[in-house]
Amino acid sequence: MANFVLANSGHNRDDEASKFGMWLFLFTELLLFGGLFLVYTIYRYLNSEAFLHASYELDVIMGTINTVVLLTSSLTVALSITAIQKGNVKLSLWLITATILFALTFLVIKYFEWSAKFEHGLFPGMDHYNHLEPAEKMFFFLYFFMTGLHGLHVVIGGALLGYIMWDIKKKEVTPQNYVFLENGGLYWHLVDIIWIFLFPLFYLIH
Amino acid sequence: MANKNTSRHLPGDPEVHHIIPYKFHIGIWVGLIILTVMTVLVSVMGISLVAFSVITALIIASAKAVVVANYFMHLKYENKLITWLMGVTMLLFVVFIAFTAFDYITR
Amino acid sequence: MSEALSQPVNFFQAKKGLFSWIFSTDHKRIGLLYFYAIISFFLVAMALGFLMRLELIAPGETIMDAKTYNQVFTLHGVIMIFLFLIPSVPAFFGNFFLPIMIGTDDVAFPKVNLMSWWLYVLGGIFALLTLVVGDGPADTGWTFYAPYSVKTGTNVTLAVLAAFILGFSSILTGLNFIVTIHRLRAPGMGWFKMPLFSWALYATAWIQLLATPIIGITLLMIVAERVFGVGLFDPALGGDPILYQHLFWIYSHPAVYIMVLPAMGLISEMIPTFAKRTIFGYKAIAYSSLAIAFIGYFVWGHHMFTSGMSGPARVIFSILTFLVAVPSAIKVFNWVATLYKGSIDVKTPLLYSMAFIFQFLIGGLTGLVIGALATDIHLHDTYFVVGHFHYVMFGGAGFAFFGALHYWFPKIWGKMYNERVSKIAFTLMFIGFNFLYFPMLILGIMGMPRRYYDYLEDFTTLNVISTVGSWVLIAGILLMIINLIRSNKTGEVATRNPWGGTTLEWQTPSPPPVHNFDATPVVPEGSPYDHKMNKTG
Repeated sequence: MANFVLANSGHNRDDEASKFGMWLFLFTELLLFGGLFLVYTIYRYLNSEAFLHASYELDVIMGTINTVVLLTSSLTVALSITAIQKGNVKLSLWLITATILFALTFLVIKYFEWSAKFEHGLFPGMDHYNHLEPAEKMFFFLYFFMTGLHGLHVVIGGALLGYIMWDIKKKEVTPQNYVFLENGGLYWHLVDIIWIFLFPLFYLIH
Repeated sequence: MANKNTSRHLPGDPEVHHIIPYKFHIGIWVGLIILTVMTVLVSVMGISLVAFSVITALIIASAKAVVVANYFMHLKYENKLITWLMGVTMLLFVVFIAFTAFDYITR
Repeated sequence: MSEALSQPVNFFQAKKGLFSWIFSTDHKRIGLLYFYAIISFFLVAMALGFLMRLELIAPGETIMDAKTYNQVFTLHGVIMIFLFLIPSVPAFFGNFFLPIMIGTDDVAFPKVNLMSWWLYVLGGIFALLTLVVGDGPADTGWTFYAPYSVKTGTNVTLAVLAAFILGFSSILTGLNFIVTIHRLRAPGMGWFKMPLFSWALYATAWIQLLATPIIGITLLMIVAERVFGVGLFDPALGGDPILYQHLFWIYSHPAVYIMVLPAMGLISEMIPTFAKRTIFGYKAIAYSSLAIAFIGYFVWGHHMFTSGMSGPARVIFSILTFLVAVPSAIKVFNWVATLYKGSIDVKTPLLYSMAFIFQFLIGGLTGLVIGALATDIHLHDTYFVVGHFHYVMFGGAGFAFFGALHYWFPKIWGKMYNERVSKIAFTLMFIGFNFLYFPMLILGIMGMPRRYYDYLEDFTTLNVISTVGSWVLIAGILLMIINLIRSNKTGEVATRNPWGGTTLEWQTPSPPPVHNFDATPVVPEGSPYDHKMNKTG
């Protein structure tokens, strides 16, 4: 075996590198949604009337509630990091649990919203949808695609936080070594930030 | 061989882990909720000039995103490099939209 | 440095068995896993290219019908682009050599590295599945242009998903390299003491990271459009196909720099070693890599001059395109200046480097011809573009890849290749290549359209020359591969530093030990290419 030590070994613990890697990954996520925002921008520019008209079908109240739910979940996950930094593992676990519960709340509300649209036949291929103008179809398709992809991220983020709770229980994540929780938190905040833009662009066209 | 107890430290890394107090986080959250209420009011009640409602909504959304990134995501306390790279990413995104939109506007 | 009597266990010997490879987190093993997969896919796509040229040896249907021809050129393109060119240099040479060259023992996230190889394999399987299920491989061209890609009955969905997964793999490789370069450089190795290959990989990694997500989401939109029958890009349903082209080229133009930038990095390594001279304009080469990566984001529209984009947009994209030529030219000047007054040692890797410069020049200059609006109207859908693209991608990136394969062959496998045979193989490849692709440039100017399995009688002679060229080229490639396989069995044992290179990978035994070094690597005081120090020390 080698009888010398590399200070710069790739196998050493390096929290800064982990966080840097997570940020880089978030950049790719931003641009992934960025492509969709680009499509949205162009089609909204080309069909502003139709987009306005179609947006009346969306429920502003539900959208607002979901915005508040996600912001609050962002708060709880941020607080959980403060808690673990201060050595309060129990509180940290409770706060992550709360975050996951908010994530579920968000998904349940989303489920009711989507079912309402399904009842009105607004999903691509359904009756009402087929009779819409092309530009309105575009709006609803983008709505389902973008909120759907976002919903998928909510599910992944929630699962990730659940996994981190498991790691905290196993003492893999501790007040001395909590970068995994920080990264999980970063991912969760990204999910929130995407929604911060989705909300006005779909619900608040007036 | 592998060192798990302490993390590597390079020049430019933040000196200590910045612990943000609970109360400060809650204050940030209150601010975000206020901004959300504002953006809904602007849109639904038409409080601001109608023609500018899209721009107002986007400015408020961007403000919220910056607050979330800076405080909830600790960007303000991280290595400045990340902030710069985030800026580059956003610049590219703006270029993608601006150049594409330019094609449509001038068509 | 003297050869130790007892060599440390090298990374081949450390563990045995298939599982010790496919679940290895050692960057060298992952690099080799990539290599074997990449070269296999290359041979498949080369065979497809051979069939296409055979079809084109005479006008009319020769060996396949129009639809088959379309499927063959699509599969050739998809495999060559997504499974060969994009991963070739970063995922193989980058994985293997980046950590060694910056003096560390692995990449920043070894497990993520393994995951990105598995994603690559999964993507490759998806691409090959299109052959056996449903209505055969996609027939859209590698660009998957809408609305045809939405309407054709062939396996576009699978092919597109393959590209999506491969994109994810490419993102993870780029992410890993950026963090590795930022965090894991050896003590004393400042940014401007890194070898230029690391600079090229760094610039490339930023393109992989920030451009790939756009193609990812675009391809998902194509899938959604096919599955749900909505009209995002279909003009019959209110969509705009030109928007698809924007999204596609926002990624795919920077992507051609993913293919060629790391290859330029290889040239910057090989030339100083064989000219026995410090590289000329180190900083200019390093910065020009970043400049190419950056400006490369602003020129995508030059692929769409004839597709209905607005006039002012075309003018702007054309001007910006000419800007990219500047940093590329800076590199070429620096390489040539490095050779000037060097004590040149004409080994096979240097020959490949020379061929790179020659062919890249032709590729680059023809690129300017089609970057100009007026000439592009005439040349856009002709063989001129095919010729241009292959001069840059194969004549450039491909030749650099094979050159570096010889350059680092002793380091990776610990054996010397047969110099004489490799030079014969190179000669065949160089001649074959130029006979294959130069006629395409002429055919394009004469007006022969691309993407057809048939052509007018007038074009026959040049097409025959081109097809014969393809045979010579393939003979050269096969000879090269046979030579390398034989050399690995029977070649001389390689020393640490057979070429007199100055970068860190030459300080370690060949092949390297598991943790890359058998002593703390010594970072040179001055330039990473200081050959004077090498002589006295």
